[in-house]
Amino acid sequence: MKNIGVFICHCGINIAKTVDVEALTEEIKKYPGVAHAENYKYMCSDPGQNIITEAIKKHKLDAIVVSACSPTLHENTFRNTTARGGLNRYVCEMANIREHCSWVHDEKDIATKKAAKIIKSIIEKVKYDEPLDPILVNVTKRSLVVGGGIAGIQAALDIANAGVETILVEKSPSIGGHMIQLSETFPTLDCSQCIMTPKMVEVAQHDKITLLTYSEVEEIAGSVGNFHVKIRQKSPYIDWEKCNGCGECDQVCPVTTNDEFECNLSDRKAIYRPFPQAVPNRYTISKKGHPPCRIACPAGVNAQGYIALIRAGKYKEALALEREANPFASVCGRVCNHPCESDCVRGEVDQPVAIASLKRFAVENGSYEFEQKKPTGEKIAVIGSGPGGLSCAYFLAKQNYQVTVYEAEKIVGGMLVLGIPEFRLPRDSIKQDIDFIKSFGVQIKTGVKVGEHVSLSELQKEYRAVFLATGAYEEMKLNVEGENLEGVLHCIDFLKKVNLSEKVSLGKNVVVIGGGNAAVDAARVAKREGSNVTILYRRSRREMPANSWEVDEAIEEGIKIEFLVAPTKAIGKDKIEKVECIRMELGEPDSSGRRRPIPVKGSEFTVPVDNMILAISQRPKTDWLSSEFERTKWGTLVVDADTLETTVKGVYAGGDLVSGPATIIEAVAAGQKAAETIDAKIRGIKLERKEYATGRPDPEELKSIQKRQRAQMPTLDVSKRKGYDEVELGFDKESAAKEADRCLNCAICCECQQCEEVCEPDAIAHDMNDKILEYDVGALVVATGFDIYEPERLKEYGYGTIPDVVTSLQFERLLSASGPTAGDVKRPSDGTVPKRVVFIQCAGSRDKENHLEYCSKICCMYTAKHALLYKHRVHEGEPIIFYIDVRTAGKGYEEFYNRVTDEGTTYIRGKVSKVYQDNGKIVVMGADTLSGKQVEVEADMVVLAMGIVPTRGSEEFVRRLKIQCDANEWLTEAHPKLRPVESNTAGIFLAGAAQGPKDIPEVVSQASGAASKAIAILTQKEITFEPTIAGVNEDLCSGCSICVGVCPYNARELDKEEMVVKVTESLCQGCGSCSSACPSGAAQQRNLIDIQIEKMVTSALEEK
Amino acid sequence: MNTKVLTNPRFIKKIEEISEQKISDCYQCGRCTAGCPFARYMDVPPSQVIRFIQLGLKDEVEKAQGPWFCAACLVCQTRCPRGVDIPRLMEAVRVLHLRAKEGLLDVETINKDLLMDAPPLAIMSAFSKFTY
Amino acid sequence: MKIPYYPGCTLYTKAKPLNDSLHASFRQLGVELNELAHWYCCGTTFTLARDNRMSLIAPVRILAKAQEEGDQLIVPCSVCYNTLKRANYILKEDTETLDIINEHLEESYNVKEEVVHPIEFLVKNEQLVKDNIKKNLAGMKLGCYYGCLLLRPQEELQFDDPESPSIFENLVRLLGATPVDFPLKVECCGSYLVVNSPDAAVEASYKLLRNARGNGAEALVTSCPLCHYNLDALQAKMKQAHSDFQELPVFYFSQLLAIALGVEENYVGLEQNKVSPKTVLKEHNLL
Repeated sequence: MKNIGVFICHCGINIAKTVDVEALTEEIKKYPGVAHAENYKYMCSDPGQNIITEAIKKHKLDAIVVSACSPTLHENTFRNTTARGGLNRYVCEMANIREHCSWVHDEKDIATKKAAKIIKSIIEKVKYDEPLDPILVNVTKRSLVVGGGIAGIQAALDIANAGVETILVEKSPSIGGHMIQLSETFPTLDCSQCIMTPKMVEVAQHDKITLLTYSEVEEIAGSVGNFHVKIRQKSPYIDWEKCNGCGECDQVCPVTTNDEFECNLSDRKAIYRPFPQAVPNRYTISKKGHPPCRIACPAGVNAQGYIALIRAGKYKEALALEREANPFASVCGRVCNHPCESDCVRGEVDQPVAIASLKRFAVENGSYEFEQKKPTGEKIAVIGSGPGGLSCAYFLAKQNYQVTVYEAEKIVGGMLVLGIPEFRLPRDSIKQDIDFIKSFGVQIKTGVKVGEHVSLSELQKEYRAVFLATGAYEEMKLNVEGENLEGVLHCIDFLKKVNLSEKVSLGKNVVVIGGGNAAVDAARVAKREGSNVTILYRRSRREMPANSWEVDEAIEEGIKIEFLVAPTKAIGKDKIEKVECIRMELGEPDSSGRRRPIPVKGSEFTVPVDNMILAISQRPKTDWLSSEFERTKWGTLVVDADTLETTVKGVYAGGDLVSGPATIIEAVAAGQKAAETIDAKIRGIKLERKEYATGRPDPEELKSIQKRQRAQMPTLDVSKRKGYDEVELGFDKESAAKEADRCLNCAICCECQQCEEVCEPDAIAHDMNDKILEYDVGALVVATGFDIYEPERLKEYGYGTIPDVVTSLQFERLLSASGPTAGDVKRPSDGTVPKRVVFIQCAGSRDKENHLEYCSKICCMYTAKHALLYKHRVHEGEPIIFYIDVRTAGKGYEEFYNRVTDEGTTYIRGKVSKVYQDNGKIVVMGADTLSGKQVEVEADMVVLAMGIVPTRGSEEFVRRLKIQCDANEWLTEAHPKLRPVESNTAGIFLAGAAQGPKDIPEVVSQASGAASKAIAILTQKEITFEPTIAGVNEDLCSGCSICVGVCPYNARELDKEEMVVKVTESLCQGCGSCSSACPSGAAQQRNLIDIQIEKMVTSALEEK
Repeated sequence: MNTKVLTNPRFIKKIEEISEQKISDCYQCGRCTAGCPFARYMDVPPSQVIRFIQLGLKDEVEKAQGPWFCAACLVCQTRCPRGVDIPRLMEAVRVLHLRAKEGLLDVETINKDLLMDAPPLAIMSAFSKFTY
Repeated sequence: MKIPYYPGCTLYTKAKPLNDSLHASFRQLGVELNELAHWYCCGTTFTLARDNRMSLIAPVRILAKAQEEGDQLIVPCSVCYNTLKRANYILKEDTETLDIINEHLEESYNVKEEVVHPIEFLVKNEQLVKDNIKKNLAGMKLGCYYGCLLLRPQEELQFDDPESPSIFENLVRLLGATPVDFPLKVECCGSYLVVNSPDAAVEASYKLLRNARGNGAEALVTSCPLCHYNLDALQAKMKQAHSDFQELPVFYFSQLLAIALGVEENYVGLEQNKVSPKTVLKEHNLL
């Protein structure tokens, strides 16, 4: 049986007022096991502690219970006392009769009884307490500071100056935080840049500091002395080892975006350095993957890029960029079905950007002389000179392959020249693209039909690879009676004849059957040949596959379209005379998703016609290929989806031959893909196709975009559309520039490559990936800082709708010599100097009902400073400050406030209700509560002294750290008074405004405080851990691993050989989850084993 | 006046009962006065009326014309940073007066043209606010 | 479709155009406004004294009648809308008062009736309106005046954001017109102060008419008969007090709706507007 000593503290009157300490002592003395009990006014004081050490000797005590305040406050104190008295420090326990008893009760009698119960239950615990030894762990001598504002900079410098290696992580590309954005600082008015930049440079040059900007901590594990962190270094898309900060790139970048550093008061380029004094002095590219237009394009043409270049007037560069992924710029600028425009985000605001027409504009305005190249590499054969074949040839020739194209027809271009009429695609425009392709050394042999003039097997022998792109020319039949009558024509055949200037003679009335582009083309050609043309289509306009703009043009030209009509019979003796048709209605959707047409019984009617042109569909002709080539049931070739290789090795295929009738750009994409795989195969490398994230503006950004009309394509007047002159006339420079300016720069960086051209050290790396860095650190300082409260939420103050209502941070930039106005106070709306500026304090702060309940602390002082600096800049200016209270607690602050009022600032006590614009003036509706008057002021500019909130996005990081935040997400310190720079997790310290609103002097002192706390750990060889952690009784452990799952600290792991759970002692925090979860009682927490808990509970519940 | 300060808990309680507002919630920022469309007609604006109530100055509140110009537009209630429903307080002041004394509106004194022209709900509303 | 409808006193007298044009427009949309039989006055402006239970009786009786006809009650007058909706809200919370009132009434109200403003109904049934538009109001620049009673208190009415509402603008846009934002659209017109402090109403209304015009409005649209009176009928007085004042026609939203839906002119009641809106309508070929 232990000799237990119980020491009851009065805590002044904190306990003694409600607990009868004398009676309590007497009662405890009688409790079994208690060898000695006494009370004292302040047990934690020196005499108090001496009472305990003396009693240990005098009464030969084995265990101690101190009945006082909470263990959080003084457990350590009394355990040290116990150790000084000669006992093991872990046989001392505290019974909390203050927080748990005296503070929460009024009646002395009840409180005294409860205190006795608390003490007795702790006596039961201490009876089973074992002497324990602290756990010793080695310390990793490296610290991590998160956040590169003034707090983080100060902490990092202090730790590094103590000789400890330090990693400083900052999420933006430069350190400096908010302080570097400020103009002068209160109350001394020293320039923020002047006092800040030397510190930033010191960080960069310090040999003990590793600076990781544009980086974020992703994961953290471990505990004090030995944390393990993973840091994501975001890709700046520029090799910072090479970049020398010269800034040539930013001169040529055609993309502008909001400048965050200037609080959106001005723009910056997509390639940027946040500000001229940035540390490190490096450039970064803002990039959000690829824009939707580029992703929508089957060939991946960089539309955002060439649009940006057109906007910048760089037409040649635009054209070069267009042709990088698609040699048919001229063709696609005219007749592409442009899926890019369907996905254009601008379409969500008003209408999509006219991407295809801009492409054509660049072709017409940016053409350049290309030099004739002579490739020398391996030989490749391409069969078919349509867009698919020629694209493949182009991409291969660019890689120095010798490519020969075999074309059966006499002219080059495939469906482009045979199928598309000239008024849509003039022959010259096709020639432009073909000449361009030829310039890469592509040989084209026309009039050579493979399978007739030369066999495929011969080609296979002669060439390393063969690409088949022979298209789909065989016309499908309608399968109705009379289809073979004279006067019934097939669409492609008809178009081909017209395009080859062969004679076609049409009668007066022509019907075209079908709803695709070919049908519309045929109809428009027939119209030009002088016939009356009607298109019959079996579904409705909504289902019509032809491009809607082509249909519109056809209608304009006087072509009739009958929807929901299908032909059932062609009637005539030898020559067609009539068509019998039937009306249709739409049923359920079919496999294509379009509603299936169903004939309406008895609705037959006849139409007199001279010609019927069938434009149903086409299929490839493959009878010239051997049976080794597998075909689908639609007669197309089977290919590997990734490589486009056919079932015959070394022979690839693409375009309509594989897909059936499809678009030009899809054929180009197939040619591109085949070229890539052929090249990879020959070079023996593995081909990796990278997936890109889709970049697009945030929904909020979209809302604020002004609607602007899409540029109209000028067209040939309908009356002049008799011949085959091109209908669409192309943009002029002015409308192209305007149209290009409608582009929203979805991905920000458009990868136009202009920066690459000018970057001397060759540092641009558009495909750079994020890096993950891993470090072991002994301690962390969290200095994640603050953001201003969203001003848009104060709708009654008009921010965002009244341009001259600005935030306090924006006003700092307007005051700053390095700001967008070089320090002159000018209104954002018109650049004039405001004669009267109204400052509204507590904008968002001290408003528990609608915004932030707390006081943001810094606003009184910075507003006073704003008024003074404004007065300095604009001598005749009139600063008016609306305030609720002016809080100037700080050294020299009241004096500063006095100076501000002395120098002519009017302070009006009252919270502004509303700010609005009336007759061009800004009206501020305020009050002066001191005189009891409403005050309405007209102002030239209004500055909102915004409240502050923890940095947005930091809550995720804080959650990973497992440290606590208060209701407003400010980091919680371990004790509000005594441990202000420590978190509740050992080894993690807090610095700066992340812990709560504070000004620069306070931030810096707190940062130094946090640093010294970190240094105290980091300069020790090893640190001790509390041994009161959980262990495993291996005899009882069955290896069920339930405890492994419940452990929040990853301290437990199953040893699969021994089938018992092992504990990593340095990770265990003694939370007890395991011991309550363990079904066998094997997991037990030291000095809090099951029997102790049981006895404590029993004792507490005993009726007495 | 000094002696009357904070000596009228009954008055404060009555106002709080009728309005269901806690008078100590107000921290006198003056925003209600700032945004009140009719403050310029008031001898004592809303924030001061509330101050008088906080101090228990019943006579001052009684004398004040301010509450009678409140049109219950609720702009102040919407913007009050302390969640005080000021119009309810103004109503409480009016109601306390009306329940004890005479109404402020007599149909005889209303402009005849207005009586003919104005929508009935204007007259009804005025009577419901100015008489009991 | 048939929906219970509560017009309130003023819609049969001074605000007849609001009633007539609304009925006719809804008929055009295929919705019949089914007027409650034997309805009473709602008590006008809502009492703010929490100990005054008497004033809740009228709203409860109206709502109890409505609940027999359907679960939604259309109320176009802003005053009635405010009073009925606030009473509803309070009684949902304060069941004790509800029980007391129910005990003393023949009817028994279940607090389930939803009070709906026609603007809410129209914007919700956007397609229905779009499909029935005969005359697009294209080009008309309209200031949407909300006033107080539709917006505040927001937590009770849930009509729209009290500082920057947009539902009214959405309606106007639906009719093809261009809404003009003006910051005073949520401020008070002077309300019933017109009765004993007419100057206050004249000045308040003057200020916001000037603000609307300054932002480019050719006319104002409102839903409240009291606002309409202050803004429209008081313009003569504004002219006397302010030499710079320019007249601005003030419509009920339902009048414009009726015009857009091609309702017969005699239902629109334009001659009852004190400031004639005919010029502006003619300018846009709507008359």
